[in-house]
Amino acid sequence: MIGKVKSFALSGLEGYPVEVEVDIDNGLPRYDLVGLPDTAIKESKERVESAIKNSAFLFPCKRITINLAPASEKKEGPSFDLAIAVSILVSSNQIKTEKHKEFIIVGELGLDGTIRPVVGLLPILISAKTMGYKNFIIPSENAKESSYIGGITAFAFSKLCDVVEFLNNSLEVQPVQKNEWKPDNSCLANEDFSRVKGQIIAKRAMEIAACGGHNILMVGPPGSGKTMLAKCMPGILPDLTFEEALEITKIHSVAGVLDLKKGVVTSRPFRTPHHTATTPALTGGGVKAKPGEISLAHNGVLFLDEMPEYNRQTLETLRQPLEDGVITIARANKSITYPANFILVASMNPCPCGNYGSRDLTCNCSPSAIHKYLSRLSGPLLDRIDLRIDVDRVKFYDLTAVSNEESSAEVKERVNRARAIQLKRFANDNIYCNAKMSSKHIAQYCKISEESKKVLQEAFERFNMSARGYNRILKVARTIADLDGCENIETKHITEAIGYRSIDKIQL
Amino acid sequence: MYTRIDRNLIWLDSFNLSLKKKKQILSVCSMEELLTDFVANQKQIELIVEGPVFSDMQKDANDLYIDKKIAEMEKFDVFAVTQENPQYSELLKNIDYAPLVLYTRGELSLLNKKAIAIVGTRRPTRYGRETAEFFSKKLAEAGLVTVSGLAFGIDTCVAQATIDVNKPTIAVLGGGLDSIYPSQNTFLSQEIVDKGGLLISEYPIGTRPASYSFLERNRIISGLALGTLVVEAGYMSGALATANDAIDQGRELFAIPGNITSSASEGCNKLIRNYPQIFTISPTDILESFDMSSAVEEKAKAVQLSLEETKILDAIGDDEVFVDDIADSTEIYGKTLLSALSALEINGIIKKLPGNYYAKISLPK
Repeated sequence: MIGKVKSFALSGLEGYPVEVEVDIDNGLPRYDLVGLPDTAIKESKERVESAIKNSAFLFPCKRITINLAPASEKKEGPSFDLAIAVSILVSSNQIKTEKHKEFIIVGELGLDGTIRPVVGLLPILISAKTMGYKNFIIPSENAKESSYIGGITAFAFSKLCDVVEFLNNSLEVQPVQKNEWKPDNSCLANEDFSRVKGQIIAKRAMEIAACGGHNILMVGPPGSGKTMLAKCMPGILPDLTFEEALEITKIHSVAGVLDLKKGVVTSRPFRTPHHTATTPALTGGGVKAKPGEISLAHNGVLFLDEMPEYNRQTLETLRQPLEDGVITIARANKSITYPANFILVASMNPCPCGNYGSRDLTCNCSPSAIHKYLSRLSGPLLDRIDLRIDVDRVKFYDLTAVSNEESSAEVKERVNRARAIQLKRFANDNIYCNAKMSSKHIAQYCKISEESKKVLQEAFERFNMSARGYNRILKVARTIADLDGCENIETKHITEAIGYRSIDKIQL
Repeated sequence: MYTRIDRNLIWLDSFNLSLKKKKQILSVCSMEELLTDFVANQKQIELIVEGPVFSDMQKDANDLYIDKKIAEMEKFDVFAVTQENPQYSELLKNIDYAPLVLYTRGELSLLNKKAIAIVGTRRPTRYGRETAEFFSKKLAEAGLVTVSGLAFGIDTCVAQATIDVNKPTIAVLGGGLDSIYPSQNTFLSQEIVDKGGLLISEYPIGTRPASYSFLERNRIISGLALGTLVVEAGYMSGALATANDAIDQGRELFAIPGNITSSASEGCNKLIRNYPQIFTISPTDILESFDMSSAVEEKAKAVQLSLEETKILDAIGDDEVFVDDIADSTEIYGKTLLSALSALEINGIIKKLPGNYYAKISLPK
């Protein structure tokens, strides 16, 4: 008799249905698994057999053939265990109803028959839902993940025998309760703006970056608070929307870094890869073409501390994602596109010793060493960073002074307001923040008065700015105007925007 | 293009010989008939020149070799100005050890224009950099050609500042003109030529710079100029060597004093203690000693300052002030402050320094 059960597999972030077919025939006992399984699936034999036996069912002592259709796609991971076990039980007539045909079944089995969570359940559910599948049997530890998706019925189980009883109609199980999604503001940032003393330029620039989605580079000597400032960033980013949260959760689910207790990502990610990170670690890749740090930072912040210390080749791979917001990982057998829309927050020293240009400390780097250090950041990469600011050590009395600095929450309120303006403006433009404006958008939304034009021209001549710098300033000015709630960009917005260009080229 | 004498001198200069030995050879042979005289007087010359170089000279004592050398120079857009060429700098010819041949790229007429050498440390402070730029601009605008060595630091500032005001500058290199050292200044060297300036080296094409060659070229820097200005020089700075060259050559010397606590100005300050008359605090000091007058000052644009901007200017005073301190003393915060600071900067009233410090732009008139 043939048993058929539907399951789902993932290719990148997209799922596709897989039919698990089992044929049990008379003959010498053997177990064949076909349909391009990887090693983890091949090993499922041992898990399935033990799990069935230890759940007090009979593992048929016959010739068993299992096919994972479509047979042409390479399948990975242990998430078919449960489906295989169920279809064996179906074809050996231990499950007597036809109920299993209504369900997509996903889960990994333990030897004792427990059902273990799988990686990437959320993208499976989302894809399956869009393909019209409504009912799911999932591991109970993945229940949280499924609870945020409306329009589906998911039954969560922790034991194989429960699944069988449920399918045999001898066990009543309630579907997973829907959870109302809400952004989590409680533990967003370890650091709060109110704890950063002084640094008005840096703080304001962070606010602008968070609001308009601009990339930001901080240049300053060691110990000037660059890292602390960056860590404040998550606390002032605009609230996460449900769609964004799902996008992030999908990626985190595929990468296997999702917090299963939460089930869904509730705050914007803040990723800080170490500077020894390899190119695949950052962009994604490897044999299974997993998402990298830049995709994990999707809709959040990618913080590169000491940017010139990163491998130059690795940094250059950021150029295209910074432009397009996606990264396509091409491998010989497949090419996968992951979203990678992040705010790049980078920090660096002005020279290897860190004291170049400092007022109080002497720099003992040779000019060529400084040049070499700075040239690790290529021009095209720097061009994609709208805000570049200097950060200097805060004096001792600033640290001890009692001051009532603004808290992150207050800044966030402004950011949220300004982001709403942007979302409204770009409703038909397929972008969501000022940093993503193309030159067409800039011409449309960044009109400036004659007076502002004159100021801008004067600044250009005085500071030797490049044509690329022009668009950068307009974008930043647009965000500043949004923060002010102004419809039009005014001269004061332009002048402020001009201030956020740290020495474009440190002269040697 | 090249006269017979030019060709002969190019031939002689192409061998790795000291200037002294070249002069000795010229005392044996005539400039006009160098090649034939060389063949005729081989015995004598062999006493002057060591083995391998001498056999090279023997092998290459023909016009074909000279043509090859000239073609090589043309490839790099280099023109050789020999001592016998009327375009050779009169001032330079008068110094001891004036190079036989100058390899040049750019505007030759600069060789005989009034020039000022501006030299200093390769690792200047902000003060040194700003003074170098200021003096270069003022002196160039008054009609002097600035001369420097295209090294990092002050040299680069001088060349860049002169180019910025669209005036010609001369850079004297320590190696052949085929490869610019330091290579980071390759673009600058191109800009110098494009803006009507001149690159000079006493070394033929293909010579790699060596540590001693930079000291040697210092005499050319000071030799080309009426006077030498030392902007910022540490205790052991090569700029002091140039200053000594200037003194030896009987040229004017100027030095800008620095902070007594700054090690980057130690050399300058000692120089001033030894020769008090070189004390220089404004470009006019230099121009007056050459009987020149400074270019007409552009009248500063009258800018209407807002109340906030006036307050900020008062807060900055004559010091370099950290932005947070400006906020504290003016009680202008956040975006208003940043916008006002930027506006002042655009109008050229203040400047932003690394590390978010601000200072008024004010230098001696």
